[in-house]
Amino acid sequence: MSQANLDQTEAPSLIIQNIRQDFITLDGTELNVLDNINLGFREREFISFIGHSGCGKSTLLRIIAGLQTPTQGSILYKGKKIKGTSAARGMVFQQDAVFPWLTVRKNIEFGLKLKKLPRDKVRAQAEKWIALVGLGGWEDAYPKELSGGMRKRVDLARVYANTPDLMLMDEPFGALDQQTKSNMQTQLLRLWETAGSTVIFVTHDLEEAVFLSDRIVVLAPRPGRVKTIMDVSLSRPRREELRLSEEFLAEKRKLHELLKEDA
Amino acid sequence: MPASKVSVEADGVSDTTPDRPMSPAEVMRFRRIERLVIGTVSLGTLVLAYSVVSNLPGTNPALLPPPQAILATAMAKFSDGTLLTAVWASLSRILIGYTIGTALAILIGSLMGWFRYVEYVFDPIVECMRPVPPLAYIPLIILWIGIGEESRILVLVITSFVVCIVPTFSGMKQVPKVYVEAARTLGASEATIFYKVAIPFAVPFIFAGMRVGMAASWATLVAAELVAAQSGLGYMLQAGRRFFDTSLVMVGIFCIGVLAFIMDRIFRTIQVRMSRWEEVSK
Ligand SMILES: Nc1ncnc2c1ncn2[C@@H]1O[C@H](COP(=O)(O)OP(=O)(O)OP(=O)(O)O)[C@@H](O)[C@H]1O
Ligand SMILES: [Mg+2]
Repeated sequence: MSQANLDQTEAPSLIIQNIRQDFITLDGTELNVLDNINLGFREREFISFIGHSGCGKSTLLRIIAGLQTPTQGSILYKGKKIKGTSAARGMVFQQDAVFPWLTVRKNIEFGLKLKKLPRDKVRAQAEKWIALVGLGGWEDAYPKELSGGMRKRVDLARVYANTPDLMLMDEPFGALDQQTKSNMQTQLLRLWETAGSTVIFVTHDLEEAVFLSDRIVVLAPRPGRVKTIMDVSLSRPRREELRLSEEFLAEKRKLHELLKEDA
Repeated sequence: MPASKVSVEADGVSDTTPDRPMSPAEVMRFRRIERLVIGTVSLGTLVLAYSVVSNLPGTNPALLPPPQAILATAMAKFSDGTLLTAVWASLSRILIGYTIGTALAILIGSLMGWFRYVEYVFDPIVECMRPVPPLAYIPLIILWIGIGEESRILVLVITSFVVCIVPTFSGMKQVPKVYVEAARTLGASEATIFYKVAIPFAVPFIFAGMRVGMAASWATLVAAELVAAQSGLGYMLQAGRRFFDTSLVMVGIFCIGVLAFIMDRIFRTIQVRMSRWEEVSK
């Protein structure tokens, strides 16, 4: 089973090996949140995690980011075992994580400055990403002056400007309205096509998962484990019109069936 | 004449068939003018009433000196330098004591809020000091180091330290975990997170503490100078009482008020500027 999860055609660059996560709850009992997770992802792949609320998606993402040490198992990235966080593994959090005390520009420059790049290079990179996420003219605004969708774009630009090889995105568009959300999805695909990173994207939204992903990992709850993996057979580049096509609906139906088997 | 214009605009606010509704900016401006006018009238009335009462034939000028007498005292004390010497004596004590106390509070408070073990070490000490009014330390300090300049400054150090450390500590404690983790995944080291995430987040708290600390320091200083000093505004008040110079006492009170007000305004301006990013209503 675990072998079947691994992609056969190309050596996986990210290997999730036998992950188990237990938490101690407030009343002192042990809670098994993730059990026996084995996955392998290719480089530049766009992967989605989908599954019920509380099935451990965020926990798994935090483990991959290095923010959380699993009870058991390990993550291999390009052959090396992950220990702690790294700028090479960027994370867009479920919550609003844009620093409110920094302007849009300073937020986006945050990671770049840490890399000790020369000043003009930092500036140029930040400018580039501000333009790419469509925030030109807002460089010197504070986050409180932006809408939720704009803040999320700052967040994306901040992580992208850091050019991570691996992007971990935890329901980044969960709180947005349908219109903004589909704009952001299209934008994300465009950014991903240019940036060339591997993306792991957590979502509850079937359409979002189908529209964005190469493969969708369906998780089952209590304890969280891999139920099945669905290949999305839709060609790229994917554009807005695709959402209304027959093939798109067929893929969406397939995913829906896979999720229903759960209940 | 201006009064009639004001009343027309007032009708515009109290939506009784306005000709033209006021824009929010106009309403704000109008409210500000209203506040200023009423406030001036209110304060003016008080001064006028005092002036009338103090100038009545039956009033004892030694207890209620008329405004012109107070002004004369102020002028005299200003031109012979007594006033400025007193102001400078008080200000320099504040400057030294407050700066040391606040710097210590920011240093220890931020480390306490960030590092568990620093908190464990200092929290009991701070919690023990906090409920004691700093003035209560004065007798002890006098016993230990006498009534020199050091003892007055030490009381100010204690006052500003105790007042400022609490909000600094609590600001550092409230840094949301998601900012810390975001910084970490962007490649920040623990030291970078401390001074580029935690400290900036806590700045509005720290400045709020500094502002309250300044007000508290003034209060403590004046009290300390009343008890034990040969110079300063508090001493001037005490001297006025001793020589039954009520005018001088009033001049002293006025000076203390004005200085405290100016300092608070300066701090407020800085505070607003440093907290511009926050969700504060403008
Ligand atoms: N630090 C922790 N301590 C104890 N329990 C935790 C901790 N973090 C997560 N959990 C528990 O682990 C389970 C999975 O949480 P997680 O946030 O990973 O779910 P999720 O799949 O991301 O859910 P959602 O879709 O609602 O975001 C939940 O039952 C949660 O209560
Ligand atoms: Mg989650």
